[in-house]
Amino acid sequence: MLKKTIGLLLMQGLAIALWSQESVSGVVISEDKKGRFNPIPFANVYWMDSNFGTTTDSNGVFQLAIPENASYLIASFVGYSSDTIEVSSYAKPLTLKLGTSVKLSAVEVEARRKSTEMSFMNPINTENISQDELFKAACCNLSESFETNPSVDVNFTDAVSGNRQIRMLGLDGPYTLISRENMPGIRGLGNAFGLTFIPGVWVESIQLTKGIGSVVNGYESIAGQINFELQKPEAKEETFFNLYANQGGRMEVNFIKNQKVSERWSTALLLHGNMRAFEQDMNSDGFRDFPLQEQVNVMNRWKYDNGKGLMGQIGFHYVNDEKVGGETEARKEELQELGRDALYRLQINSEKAEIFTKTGIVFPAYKYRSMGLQMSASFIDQESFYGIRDYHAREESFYANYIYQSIISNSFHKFKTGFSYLYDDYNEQLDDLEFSRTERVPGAFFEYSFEPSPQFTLVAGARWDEHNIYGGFFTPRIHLRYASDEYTVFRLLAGSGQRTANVIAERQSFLASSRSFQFLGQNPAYPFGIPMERAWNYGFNVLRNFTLDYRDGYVSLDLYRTEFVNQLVADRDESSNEVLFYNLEGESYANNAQFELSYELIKFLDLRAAYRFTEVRTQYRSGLRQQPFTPKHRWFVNLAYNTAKSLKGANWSFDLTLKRHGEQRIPLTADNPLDDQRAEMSPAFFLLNSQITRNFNEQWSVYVGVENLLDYRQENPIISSENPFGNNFDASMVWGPIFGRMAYFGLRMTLGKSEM
Amino acid sequence: MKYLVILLISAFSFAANAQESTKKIAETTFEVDGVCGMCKKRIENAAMRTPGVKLAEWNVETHQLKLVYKTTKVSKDELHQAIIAAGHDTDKMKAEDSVYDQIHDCCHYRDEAVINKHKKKAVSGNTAH
Repeated sequence: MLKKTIGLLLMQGLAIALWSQESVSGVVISEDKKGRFNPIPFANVYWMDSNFGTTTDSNGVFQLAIPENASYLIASFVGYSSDTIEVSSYAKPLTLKLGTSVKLSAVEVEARRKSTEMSFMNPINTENISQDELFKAACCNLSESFETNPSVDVNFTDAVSGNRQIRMLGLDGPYTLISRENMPGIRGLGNAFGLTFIPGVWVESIQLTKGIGSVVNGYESIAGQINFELQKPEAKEETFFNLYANQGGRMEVNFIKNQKVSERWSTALLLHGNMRAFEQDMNSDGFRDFPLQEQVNVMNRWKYDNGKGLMGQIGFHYVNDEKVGGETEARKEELQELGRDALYRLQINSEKAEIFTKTGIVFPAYKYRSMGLQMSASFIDQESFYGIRDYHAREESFYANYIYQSIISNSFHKFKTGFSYLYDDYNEQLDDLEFSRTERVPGAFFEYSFEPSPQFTLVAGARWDEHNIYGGFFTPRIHLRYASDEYTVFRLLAGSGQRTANVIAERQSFLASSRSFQFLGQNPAYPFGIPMERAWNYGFNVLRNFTLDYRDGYVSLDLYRTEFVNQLVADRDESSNEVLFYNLEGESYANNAQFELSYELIKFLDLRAAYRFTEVRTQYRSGLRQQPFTPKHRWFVNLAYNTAKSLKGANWSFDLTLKRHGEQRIPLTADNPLDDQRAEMSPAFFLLNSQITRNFNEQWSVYVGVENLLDYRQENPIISSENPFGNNFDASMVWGPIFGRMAYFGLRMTLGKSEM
Repeated sequence: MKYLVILLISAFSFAANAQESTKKIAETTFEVDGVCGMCKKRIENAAMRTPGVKLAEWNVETHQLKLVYKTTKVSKDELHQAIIAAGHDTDKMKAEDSVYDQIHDCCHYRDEAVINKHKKKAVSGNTAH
């Protein structure tokens, strides 16, 4: 390897010697199976749009005169894919890299790209959700980005805060690792409202992984990983503007500006503001269906790329969010009638600030060798009250992750290794109770990939983390992929994951009730007396792509099982006036089976249909029972149609999503007076969402949509809503939509988008 | 069970459909003028958006457009018309100048300068063969 480096240096040295003012010089190379670079003799080198060209000598070195206005240099050689580079400086020797051999008469087949794609080559079962897919349901933030996806459920946590949480494999949001460009995105206290801090239009794409992910990203993923990529400053120079308003009174403004500042620097400014200025009470229960709110959200980042293997970025993110929910102003007049003198209100003020950096180095001579360092420092502060309960929480956190990747002897054997450090300082105050803890977790990881052929991949990873409170723990994970033919791929995975439960922050919706919080954790060494949550996850997936009548489709089957060793159990089945928090005493598991079919039904009409069976059972004090508010059966159908684009780029697109939620178990209410009791199971119901988008040209588009077209509503979502300071009040028993049918409207404008 | 029955029925009707239609399916190849990847997209899209066309593949080097289509739904002439309506000349028909003018500048395949610009890449690249 060393010899090759020296060789390359010598070649470049030679090229420098040949350098003169009127010409450029450089070397043409190609990479072999072991990831090493070899010079290509007699390759063609020529300027784009000109007659000047030459061939390399026996050492792969060339020298070429510079014609006027020449900026793009192309190298090509028979059997290799060519390389084009932009020449910014004539002084430096250039390196042109040819791709490994391509089939000579390969015909480029341009398939219509689907807006969601199931990976075929990735050993980890990952679904890519593109921006086109995100545009199908244009509201509003990350928690609503999954409306057209059958694998992620989005539920309201309660009937007063307007907050939603996601679920994967039937397990609550915190069990899914949410990362922003592979750095911790939403975790810790952020799990409570963090999804609403990521505006939907900032998101460029989402990668959805079911089950445990890679050890490189930490030990926290249990049910899955959601990685989201934000708009990239370097992608294209453009200005994006978006307005949105809905019938629920929500208004949004988004502005994104990407700019290349210099040859090496580019920057992106992302701005978002939203507000809900007037109150609505569609179900006439005296409570605002959504809180009034205001949010200001800013991100700015700078990216650096010196074109020689050094890349970096630095940025910050700031959010300020204020919500006021609870009883309506109109209720004031009824107070006397109700026999009390105050309105029930809740207020949640959150603030988040973060700075982050990333540095990466790739070694030009060794494609497979690279290293990277990611760091972020952040704080989240939440000041809130729910009726007469005060809750204040603050988290200060620091994260660093160093990753080195290379190959062992050849590119069949790759590895990633590195170490991480996590610092988390939590301070929570619930009325008179104060909880604080500081976590310091240094860790190290190693992940080995064996890919002897395009048919087979094995990824085996492990990490050791030394936690200052919970001690050291080991996290092994394995992923296998086997493609039996060019259409069919099988995947297997097994591994563990763990996390610290943020007992109050994550179950904040329970504060919107009169339930008293009983912390029954047994171990005095741990915060809340509860050990770290730990689970094993096993998965099997088969994906088969097919072409029927010249149109593409796929069928897939997923089977997953998650078994908890330790889990924070929130038990609402002992009494309707209490919630008990304790460590799992017995079994807790989640079984999932999902069948999915996707096909272009008729030309340009895409169908995606799925059925999922979800069994999430936990040992409560009252027995082994299905987790509340988790339907066993779910059906999903999405239809998307695009009309032809005119020469200017104008067209229509239509999108329709129909979901059926099965019956859900409702926690105990039998000890309430008759009026405040609820059925043991919720009824099954349908949700229908639709959106029509009109693109006028490549720059302008408007969209109109309706959520919950069938106008389905949960009746009386708030238990004892007339007496919110009484013993039976509970706004956290939500299983269906609170607001009925809701129309929305928006417009998008993109300037400076390049045509290709 | 109800769902299973519906699924089975739809699967069968799919199969029946496919069988019936294969009999009326024809394949044709003709020349369409164009210069680049953007042209390819435009040509293939124009073809695919024509009712009855099932598959369209245009080769930037040979200028050959391969089509699979239903003979009962679309005739050869109509296929040519669909392509010229998108601004591209075929070996049988010529696109209206007014349509041709609307396509992107870099796709103006009748312009010698544009052709040369695109050709240069290909020719220089081929000298190695």
